[in-house]
Amino acid sequence: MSESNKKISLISSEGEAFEVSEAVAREFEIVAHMLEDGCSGSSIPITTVDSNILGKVIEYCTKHVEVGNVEGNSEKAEKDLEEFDKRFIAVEMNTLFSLILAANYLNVKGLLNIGCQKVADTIKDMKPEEVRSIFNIENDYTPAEEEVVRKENEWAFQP
Amino acid sequence: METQQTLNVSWDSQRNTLPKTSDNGRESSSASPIPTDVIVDIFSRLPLKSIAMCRCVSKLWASVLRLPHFTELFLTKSSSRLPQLLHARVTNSELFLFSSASPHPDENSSSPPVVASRHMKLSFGGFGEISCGRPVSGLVFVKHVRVLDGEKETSLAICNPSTRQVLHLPKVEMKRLKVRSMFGYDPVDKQYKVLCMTTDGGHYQVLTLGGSWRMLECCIPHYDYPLLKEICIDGVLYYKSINQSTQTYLIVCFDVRSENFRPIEAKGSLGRAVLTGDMVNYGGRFGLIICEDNRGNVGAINRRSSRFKLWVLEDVEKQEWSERVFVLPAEWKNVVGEHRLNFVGVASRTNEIVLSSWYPINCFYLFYLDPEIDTVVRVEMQGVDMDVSNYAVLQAFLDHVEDVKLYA
Repeated sequence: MSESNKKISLISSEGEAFEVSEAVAREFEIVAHMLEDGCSGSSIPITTVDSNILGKVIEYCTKHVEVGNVEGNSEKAEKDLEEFDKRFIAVEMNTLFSLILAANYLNVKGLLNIGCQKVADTIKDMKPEEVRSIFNIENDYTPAEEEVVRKENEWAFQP
Repeated sequence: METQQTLNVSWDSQRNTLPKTSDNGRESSSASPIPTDVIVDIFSRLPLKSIAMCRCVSKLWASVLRLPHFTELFLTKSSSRLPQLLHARVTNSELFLFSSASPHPDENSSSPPVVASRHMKLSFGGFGEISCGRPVSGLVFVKHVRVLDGEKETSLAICNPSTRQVLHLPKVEMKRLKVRSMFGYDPVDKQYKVLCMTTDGGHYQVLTLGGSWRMLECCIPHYDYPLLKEICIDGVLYYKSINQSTQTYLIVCFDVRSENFRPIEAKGSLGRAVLTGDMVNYGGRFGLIICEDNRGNVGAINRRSSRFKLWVLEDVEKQEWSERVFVLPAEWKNVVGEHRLNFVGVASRTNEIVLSSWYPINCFYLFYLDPEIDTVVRVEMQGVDMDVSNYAVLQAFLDHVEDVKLYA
């Protein structure tokens, strides 16, 4: 049980240290694997994630560890967590993509799941032009090719 | 509403900020900064319409949407959700396909109507006869037979209601006039095949989707018994037939992967089931179901019906069958009213016996019989075009899944 009090420092790409409990750090599967592989160092560099995003990921994991530790009243706790997730992921697109990238890299499955769902919900009813815009995608179709692919998928453009 | 706002804000800030922040590890400015695995994960959460829309976004996205990794994930996800219903409206020259969610009828018989959405229309030139098979792992096999200059002409097509794709199959070269064709799926090699036989049992050919016709040997020559549609369950195509040498009724099991035929002889009480029963998928096993009146005569399904009998093939090797009897509940008479019904199938997971009205006039109904709690519930289907001119026939199929793979 003494382990749960152990603190670990996660270092962002800017070199900023975030001190978290081992339980929270273990929510990052990549960190959990490092710890299991005998990496006993108390500070772990997360070089691809900046302070802003790392702070948010830690906030997400801390909340989920806290709720996971509370016994009883699970239905209410689950509902609260759902509410938390909903609020947490209601961010602008740029942050959302950064969170998804971080969750993918750090292997935080729950966060990756709500992030992907949020993007899917967002692009679900969009036209290709709108999708290109939010994903910052260049249209690499020639006008002739685009006409063909549009024709093949014409039905999707009908109300 | 809130999301909408966030979005608008982000679009404006997006154009300038995203390239800067996501330059990390990016190869070209047009590539998505998000790893393909994550993009695939996002795509797998989209409805069909959005997938079609996303194909138009860029070549890169269209290529990701063609990845087997993606199409298989999408199919798996679709299969793990509650299966959909597929509805076909067939006239003499057109086929319309619709799909809807599976209803969840509860005990009180006032289940809300289920609304179907239209997928596609398939037109064949000229007056003829169209038959639409049960959906097989998302795809539908369609036959059109017409008489042209005194010659019978058959065209075969596979269509995918989820992508609206239609594939016209190469013509079968068979000398004999009458040919029967059936459609199956091998879940191991993930291949669709069409089996074709002359109705006199003389010749057998098979076609793997994307390939050409090949001759097949069959050690048990059997006649065609064309009244009922074949059924494909877990890589095996089951169909009714008659053994050419003994003139007895058979169920032929055609293994889609190995392309071997295995006959199952109908002995004893099973003979009647094979002769008159409807083929169903009962929890992944092959079954035959019949309807009896109170004197034990096999007959039409209507308010006077008394029970259903179901034979389930428990062991193909040993040819072992189990027999179940479902006595119809007391409210059957009232719920069915003046309708004449036919079997649609057995719902996977719930094991409800599903029936539909035979000649729907103003409304199209499905009936769910739950033997476990002894209830029957009528569900109205809306959105399926009810115009029955041009000899239109309505059919409903269970266990439809969404496959977004594009076939060449």
